[in-house]
This record gives sequence, C-alpha cells and structure tokens, in this order.
Amino acid sequence: MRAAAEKLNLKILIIEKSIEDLHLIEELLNVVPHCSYELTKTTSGHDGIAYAKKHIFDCILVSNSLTDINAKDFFTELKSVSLINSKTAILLSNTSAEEDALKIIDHGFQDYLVKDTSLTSWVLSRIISKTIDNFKLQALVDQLSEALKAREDFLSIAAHELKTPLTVAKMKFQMGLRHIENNPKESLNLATLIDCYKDGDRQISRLNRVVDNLLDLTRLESNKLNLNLNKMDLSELINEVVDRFIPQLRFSNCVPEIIAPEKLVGVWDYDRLDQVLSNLMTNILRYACGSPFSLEVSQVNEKVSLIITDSGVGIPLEDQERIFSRYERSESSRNHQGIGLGLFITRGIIESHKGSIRVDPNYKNGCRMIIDLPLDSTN
Amino acid sequence: MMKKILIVDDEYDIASNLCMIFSMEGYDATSAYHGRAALELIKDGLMPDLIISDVMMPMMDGYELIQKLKADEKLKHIPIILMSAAHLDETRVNKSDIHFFVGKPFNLDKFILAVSNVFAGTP
Repeated sequence: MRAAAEKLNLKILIIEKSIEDLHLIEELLNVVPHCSYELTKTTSGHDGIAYAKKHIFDCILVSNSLTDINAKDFFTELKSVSLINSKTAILLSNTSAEEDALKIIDHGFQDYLVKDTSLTSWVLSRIISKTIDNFKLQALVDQLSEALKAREDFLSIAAHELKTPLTVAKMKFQMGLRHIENNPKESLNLATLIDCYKDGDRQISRLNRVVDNLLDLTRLESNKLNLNLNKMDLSELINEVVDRFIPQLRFSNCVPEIIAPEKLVGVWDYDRLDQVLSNLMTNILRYACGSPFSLEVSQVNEKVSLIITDSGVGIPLEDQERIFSRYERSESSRNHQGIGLGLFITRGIIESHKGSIRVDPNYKNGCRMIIDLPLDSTN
Repeated sequence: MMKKILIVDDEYDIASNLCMIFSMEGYDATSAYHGRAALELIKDGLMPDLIISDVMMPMMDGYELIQKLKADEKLKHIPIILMSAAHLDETRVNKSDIHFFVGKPFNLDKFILAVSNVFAGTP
C-alpha cells in the first residue's frame, strides 16, 4: 500500500484523437493531489508508437477511436517491439458497453475507462495508480517465480554433482567387496583392494570438494572467505594440478601445454589457488574436450598474469560477465554438468587475493581467461 | 565370441571402472567420452552388442545419441542401457527405446545382472 504522503511522479503517454478529450484528461490529471504527471500527448497512433519506442512510460492511455490506427493493431505493434513489459496501458473507451471494453482488455490492456461524465480526476488517478500497482505486483510475482525455479534447478544440479563422486566411490567399494566375496582368502589380491580403497577415498575427497564449494558460496556471500597466505611456488602448483588431471585429460583428448618459468614464488593461499586451477581444469574438460589448451604464467614487476586458453565452445560476448555470477552458466553449456558455482567461487578467491579474472572478449577460437594477481597478496 | 559393450560417459572414473568391471565379467568393453565420440567409434567399425550411456555429456548427450541410433536402420537394433544421476526425462526419450534405466549411484551386482539379462533376452 502506498503511503499517503508519498508524492508520485508518473510519466504518462496519452494517445487521443480528440483534442478536446486530450485537454480534458490533462486537466483532470493536473488536479490530482499527491501526484504529478509528466505528460506526453499525441492525436496520432503512429506518433504514439514512435514515442513508446523511444521512451519508457509508466502508463499509456490509448483512445479506442484513433483514426490512423486501431487500438488492437496499435497494441500488437507495441508488443512486437517488446516494450509492453516495461509499461502498462489503459484503454480510453467511448462506449460503456462492458463486453466490448473487456474484449479489448483481452488484447493486452490492463484496464479501461469510459469517457463520459463519470470520468473524474479521482477515477482517472485511481485507475492509473491501481494499474501500475498491479503491474509492479505481477513483476514481483514473476521475479519470485524465477527465483524459485532457479533454486529448484540449482538443487537438481547440486544433487547430480554430489551423486557423481558418490557413484564412483560406491562402485569402488562394491568392487572391493566383490573381490573379497568371489575369491578364497589365500587368493585375495592386496593391490586390487588397495586400489579400490584409494580410489574410493579419492572420490570421497572429491565429494568433500563439492560440499566445500557449496559452503564457500555462503562464505563468499558474507565476505568470510579466509585466506591462509604463505610463500608458495605457482609454477609447481600448476604442474601438480595438471598432473592430477592427466587421466581425465587423456580420456577427453585434451592436450595441455604449460608455459611457466621454472619457479614463480609469491605470497598466496596454496589450497585456494589449487581450487581455482582445479575449477578451470574442470571447465576445460567440460567445454573444450578433444582440443588442446594452454596455461601460460608470467611475472611482470609485482604482478603475475595467468592466461588459460582453450579451443572449445567459447563463451558468447553477452555471457562473458554473467558466467561469474552464482548458479550461472553460459547458454552454450546446457548439456554440460556443473553446479554453476565454479567461476563464481573462482572469482571470489581471486578477488580475495586482490586480483582479477576476466574473459578475453577478443579471443574467438575458444575461450581465453586472464587472471591477474599481485605477487604478494598481503600487500 | 565375446559380446561387445560400448560405455559412453564423460566421467573418466565411471567409464574406466565400468570398462574394467565388464571386462572382468567376460565382455569386450570400450568407452567413449560423449555421444559424438561413440558414433565416431561405430563409424570407424566398432559394432557394439550393447551400449551403456550416461545422459548428461558434452557435445552430444545420451538422449540425442539414442535419437541418432534409433534413426539409423543399421544401428536401431542395438540395445541401450541408460544411466543417470537424474530421473529419466520421458519427454526426451521413448521408454521403449531403452532396455533398462540405471540410477546413479547404482548397485553393481544388479547392474551386472541387468547386462547379462540383455544378452540372455530376459527383461
């Protein structure tokens, strides 16, 4: 409910063939208390469309007796330029026949007013105000529905991400159990059992990383991501992470190229940068399988630059900022796994190190991510 | 003659372990990273007696792979076991086009039994 003292300033477009009616509506609006109206007036439907295309109005009042265009065609044209989502429209009708007016409401008008002696400034302002309020309420309902849908999608993807390492862990433990059950004690192969347990344990660590990512989301949202800053060698970490991914990289036919100095010592959080590199490697496996990629790290004065280039599906220009938001993935990634948190967390970690991450918009043969870090993140 | 199984999954750990398990069970198991890679293997001469496919994969997902297989006169007879961590989306696949649906994480004994049932011709 709007507070009585709140002064409203509404932008209204009036499209009315009759100059007398146009002036009448203007006069009625000018005497409404607690409201000021910025009016744009025209007697032509075509001019009205031109105004509506150029400007955003809170409400459009359209007469149903336009001579150059009928109200239905007018509204169809408005819809076709996708402006209807940002405004409301009320039909000014000459007829009090409700059925006729309601038919026109079906064409997309939110309400109608009859131009007769019952039309007062109070009626006019009340209908405009109610229409705008309803429109805002509907926009809010749509927003909430979208948020609920996003939450449902997220839970479904999160469950999928948790189930993947769970599947492998369960499979490895069942393989070990089958080996024990199907072989006499003296024929048990210790190496097979160790492999099962090691792999099972590795998958539980992976499961833990997914849970950590979910917890990091909360930490990042409340700015509570703590860093454990120490001297470390970034070149060594890059080699270590890529080595860890070798089996998956071979399977997906991704050939890595590392361009790094023998040592690149700086002050960063080792585990967090491991998480960043792991997230980026996971993305390469998802979006650039079957193609080579490179990781190039270099130091210029007190800054370190890490450039990751792949020749995968790439990220459309319009998605290049959005992918760093939580739960977001590029439109081109619908078939791919992933919770939509990897790059959000990656950016959070990099920014906590006082660095930055971005997609190179000029690179067209895949994706190129550029990470800049200070050599010492304590400074 | 060993029965040939083609396992299609972008998760290296799942594909490699299933390959190992079914090889130990006496099958000739091969893996592919996604639907398109599976079709390339078939194009190169591999004619599997059974395809076990994941759903969510890059390049070509499991549902699209099934569509391609069922649209090909030479390949439509190949039985398919579909596996997924999500529910089966019946808007994207005809239930009759798949032999069996395995939810992840699966019970290995039941999975192995389902595969042997496919070859024995029992449901």
